[in-house]
Amino acid sequence: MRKRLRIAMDASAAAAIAVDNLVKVYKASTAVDGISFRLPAGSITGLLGGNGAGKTTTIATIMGLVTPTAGTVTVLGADMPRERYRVLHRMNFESPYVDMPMRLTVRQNLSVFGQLYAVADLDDRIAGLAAELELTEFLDRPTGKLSSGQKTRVSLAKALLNRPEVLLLDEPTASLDPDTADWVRGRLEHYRSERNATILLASHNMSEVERLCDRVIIMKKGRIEGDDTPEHLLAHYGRATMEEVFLDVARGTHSELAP
Amino acid sequence: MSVSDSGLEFSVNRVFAMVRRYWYLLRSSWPRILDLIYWPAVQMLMWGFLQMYISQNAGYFAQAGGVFIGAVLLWDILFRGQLGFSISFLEEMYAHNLGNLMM
Repeated sequence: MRKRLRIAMDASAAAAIAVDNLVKVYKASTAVDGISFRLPAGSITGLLGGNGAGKTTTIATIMGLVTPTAGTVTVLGADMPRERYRVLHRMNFESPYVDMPMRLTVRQNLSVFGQLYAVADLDDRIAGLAAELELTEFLDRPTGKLSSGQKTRVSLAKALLNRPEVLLLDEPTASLDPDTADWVRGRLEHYRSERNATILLASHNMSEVERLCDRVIIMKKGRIEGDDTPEHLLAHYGRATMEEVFLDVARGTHSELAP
Repeated sequence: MSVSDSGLEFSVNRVFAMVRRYWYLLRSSWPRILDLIYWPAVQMLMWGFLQMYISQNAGYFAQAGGVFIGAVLLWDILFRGQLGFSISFLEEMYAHNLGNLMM
C-alpha cells in the first residue's frame, strides 16, 4: 500500500508553494475568492472543482501569468508574479489546452524549449527523455502529426526538460485512453519520488486523484470547500469514493458523517 | 543578462531560442520564405535600380518621383518588419503556444 503523507498545516513549515488569501477578480466576475493553502516540497496535491471553480486561474496565478487582485502567492520563496524570473527555471507546467508548434518536429520543439529553459547538455537531455517517455521513434515527426496520446507524452517531456522542482499540471490525462493515462500517472509518481518534486494537479478524474494525491483541495465558486487527505475527506463526507465527495461538494449536499 | 531590480528581465538565450523557433518554421515552409525574402528582394532591386536611374538622368519632377520611390522602399522595410513581428505573435496565439513561451 502506498504510504500517504499526512500533510502538516503548520504555518512555519517550509512550503514549496504558499498561497495566502488569494483573490482574483475579472471585471464583474470573481474567479478566486480568498483561498489559502501551503504545499510542502515533495507532495502531490490535487486541485479539484467543477467548471468555473477557479482551478485554472489559481494555477495561472501560481505560474505568475496572472496578477492577483489581492493576496500573495509564493513559489520556492519568490513572490509571484513580481519575482517569477527568479524561479521560472525551477518550475514548469503541462496542459492539454496549450499546444506546441505543430509544424516543428518533436526534436525541434524540445530543442527550442530546452534553449528557452537554458538546459545544459540539451541533446543528451532530449535523448534521455525520449528514451524514458518512449518518444525516440517520433523525434523527427512533426508535432501536428502525432496522436493525442503521443502529444501528451511530448508535452510531458517538455515539462520535464528543465528537471523542475515544481510541476503544475492542468488535467494531464484529459482525453487520453486509460492505458496512456495510467502510463502518465506512473511517470508522475516516478518523477516525484526521483526528484522530490512538488506537483499540483488539477483534474476531473477522481480515480487519478485517489491514486496520486497526498492531499486534495476542492474548490467551488472560487473558494476552498475541502482541503485534506483523500482518506480524511472520504471519512468527513461519509463517502466511498472521491467522485461521490466531489458530487456532494458540487451539488451542495452532505451525507451524515461516518461514525 | 538581466535587470532584476527594476523587474525587467532580458535573456539573450531566450531571444536566440525564439530565433531558432522561427528559423525551424521558415525552413519547413517555402511560401513563408517567398513572402518574407524573395518578393521583397525583387521589389527592392527593381524599384531601387529604377530610382537610381531616375536620379542620375531626369529633371526636377522625375527626381522628386525618384525620391518618393526611395521613401516607399524605406517604408516597405519598416512595414515588413512590423508585419513580421505581428504575425509572429499571432502565430503563437493561433498555435496555442503562448502559454508555453511564458515559462
